[in-house]
Amino acid sequence: MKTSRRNFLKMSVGAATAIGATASILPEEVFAADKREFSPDAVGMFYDSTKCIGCQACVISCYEINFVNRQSYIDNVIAPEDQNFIEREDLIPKLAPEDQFNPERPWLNVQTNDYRFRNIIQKYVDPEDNVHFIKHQCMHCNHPECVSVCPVTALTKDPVDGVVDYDANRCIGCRYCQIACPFFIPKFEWKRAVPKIVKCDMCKSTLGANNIAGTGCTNACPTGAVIYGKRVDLMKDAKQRISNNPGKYFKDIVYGEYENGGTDVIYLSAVDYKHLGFDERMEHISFAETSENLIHTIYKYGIAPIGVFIALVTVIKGNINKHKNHDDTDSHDNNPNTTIDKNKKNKGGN
Amino acid sequence: MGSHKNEYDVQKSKIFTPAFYVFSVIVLISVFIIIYRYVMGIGYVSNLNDGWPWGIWIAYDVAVGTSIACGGYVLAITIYVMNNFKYHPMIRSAVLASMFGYCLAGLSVMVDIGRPWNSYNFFVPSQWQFNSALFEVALCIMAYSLVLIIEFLPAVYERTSTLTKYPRIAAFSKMGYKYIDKLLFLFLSVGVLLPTMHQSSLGTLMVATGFRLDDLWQTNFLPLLFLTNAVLMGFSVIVFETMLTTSLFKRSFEKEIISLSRIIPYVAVAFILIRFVSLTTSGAWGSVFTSGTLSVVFWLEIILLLIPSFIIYATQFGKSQRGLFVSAMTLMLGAGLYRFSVYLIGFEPGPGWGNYFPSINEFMITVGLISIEIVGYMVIVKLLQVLPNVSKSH
Ligand code: SF4
Ligand code: SF4
Repeated sequence: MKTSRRNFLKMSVGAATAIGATASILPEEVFAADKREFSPDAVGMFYDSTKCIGCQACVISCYEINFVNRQSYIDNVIAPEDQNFIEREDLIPKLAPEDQFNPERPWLNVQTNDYRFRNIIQKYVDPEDNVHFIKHQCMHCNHPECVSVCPVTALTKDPVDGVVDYDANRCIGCRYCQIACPFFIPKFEWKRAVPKIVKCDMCKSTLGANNIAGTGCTNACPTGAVIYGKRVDLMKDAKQRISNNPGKYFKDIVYGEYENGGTDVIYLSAVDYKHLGFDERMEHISFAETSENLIHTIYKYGIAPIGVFIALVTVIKGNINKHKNHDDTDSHDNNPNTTIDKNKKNKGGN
Repeated sequence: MGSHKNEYDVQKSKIFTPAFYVFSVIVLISVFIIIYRYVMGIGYVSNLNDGWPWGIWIAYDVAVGTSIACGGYVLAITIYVMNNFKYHPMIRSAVLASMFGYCLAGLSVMVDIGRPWNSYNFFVPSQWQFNSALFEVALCIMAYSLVLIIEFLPAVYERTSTLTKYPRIAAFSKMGYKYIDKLLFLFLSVGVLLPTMHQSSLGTLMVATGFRLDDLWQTNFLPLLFLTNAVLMGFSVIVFETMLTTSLFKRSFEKEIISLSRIIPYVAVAFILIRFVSLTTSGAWGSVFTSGTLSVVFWLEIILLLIPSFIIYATQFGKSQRGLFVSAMTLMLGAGLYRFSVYLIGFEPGPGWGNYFPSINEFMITVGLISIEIVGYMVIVKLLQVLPNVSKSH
């Protein structure tokens, strides 16, 4: 086919127009660092793994406040008559069949965070048989992936207190937040007809907005391993502990100071964080930053799509007209069949 | 009806074939499973879990499914943008298949999402989220499904305008036909723009997952790769569909398809080149032999594209009916596997989650949706003038 090469060339010209939208993806801003500032009033939690005794009082406290008795706690914050019926339904604790009481195995089966446990304690035994604990819950990232990807703004980060909150009334249940969170945090109610996303909101929904009294877990902790406060104060505290105990903490870093662009929840630990369920490939900029830069470069001011659209209209209109004139010698009546017939004699149009 | 001069033709064969019944039964079964899913919850029909929030309903039905439905897109580019009107007779069947593909991807999303009654939020401007690739994908897919339906309407109007028993409907159809014909250039432009946008955004979508998508696939080139992949898939699908209808409905061989297929090797090589460039920029060449199964999948993707491209480019077999059919099918496998890898195979579920394999019910819902497409296509081409009229003299 002799025409094929020519077609291909033309094809690539057109494709270049179309791809123009995406071809501009590599200016350096794509690789820029996370520039987002922390709110000075951001609240957070600080967990010192070396102080934790693994009693899991925090887990049970959270379970009680945010799962079992969630309804009565929320009623204190929002009056029941102000809640719509789906919200009421959402508040009823419903256990999946496999989690219901089983007389043969009457204990709780908790492996990871799930729709019941927004907060869990995991154990790591190092080669010298030392035991280390780690508390896992939402990190309340400063530039959260989950907020960035949620298509309907069901997840939001409060600009003042920094809490990453969830609104079931908006959520469509697409689970993109689960896909994108680098800490594997948001969980979903799989065994429920009206499912929602479950994740830590620093007890904002249950204990009230801007609660200064602390969260369920921080109030329950008997050793002060996890404490609640403003991020700036917590960070100072953490740095102080490091300088008071040189060599005690892993690489003398505060985990969450920079990880994933910085998080409101921060950690100290004696062992490498990769043993505690944090991925080594975590970067100091949030992946949300990377993807937002990419999206906003492609769609900057809508120039690319509008430009492509105008080009398309011009080219397509021109081609259709050319094609119609080409066939104008054909007689035609009102019958639609023959209107389409106009194309029949065409020999490739070029 | 169907004057011999027409570009398109009604397929004159029985509608109620055994295949029709088989596929209809599958559709019925899947409808029951879908009802069960709505009454009980997603976890009761699928193997999805907190480690694998997205399964085949997204990876196959949406990511791969919409690319299979790109036939209408690439053909519209070839005909109206590149001015190759000799392929015009093929557009209707391609648009029909694309329409089914996109509408069913939308349907599958409605089965997949947990709180579908909140979807109206997509139309509430205060909730718009321009940071989310999924927001753009969702809006574009909805809009494009609508455009495809409009693009297909003329075929329906042709039929309804001949209903002499119902003059009202006939008059309305004639009017509708006229307006669509007049505004066709607009619908076509939107119909080219939208897939360009959301097919690339389907790639952007996974950029936010960072290290949770394996190095072999994670790159800022994802949007460009997905767009090229969609074009490649589109051409392969057109060839595949044409060959399939040719042999199933025992129609004569449309020679046009050979010249159309000549483009495929170029697109495939372009795709692979971009892929290699992206591996270089993300420094992932080290993993192409060392990532176990993932490396195997990576090479499989490449081989499944290279071999059929070579066959079409260089061999006589690649110009035969059989050769084209086999090559197109292999290309679809390769291009589809790439999308599948980005959405499932290369995805990191988090510590302790193991592997995901779809449950029978999950699988049946997908098969059911595909069956709707097949039944719908088979019935419509036998009712309306859709397939190219091959009996006309060339
Ligand atoms: S840890 Fe995950 S869920 Fe929590 S704010 Fe960060 S991205 Fe969102
Ligand atoms: S599941 Fe809900 S909260 Fe999560 S991204 Fe989707 S809409 Fe947003």
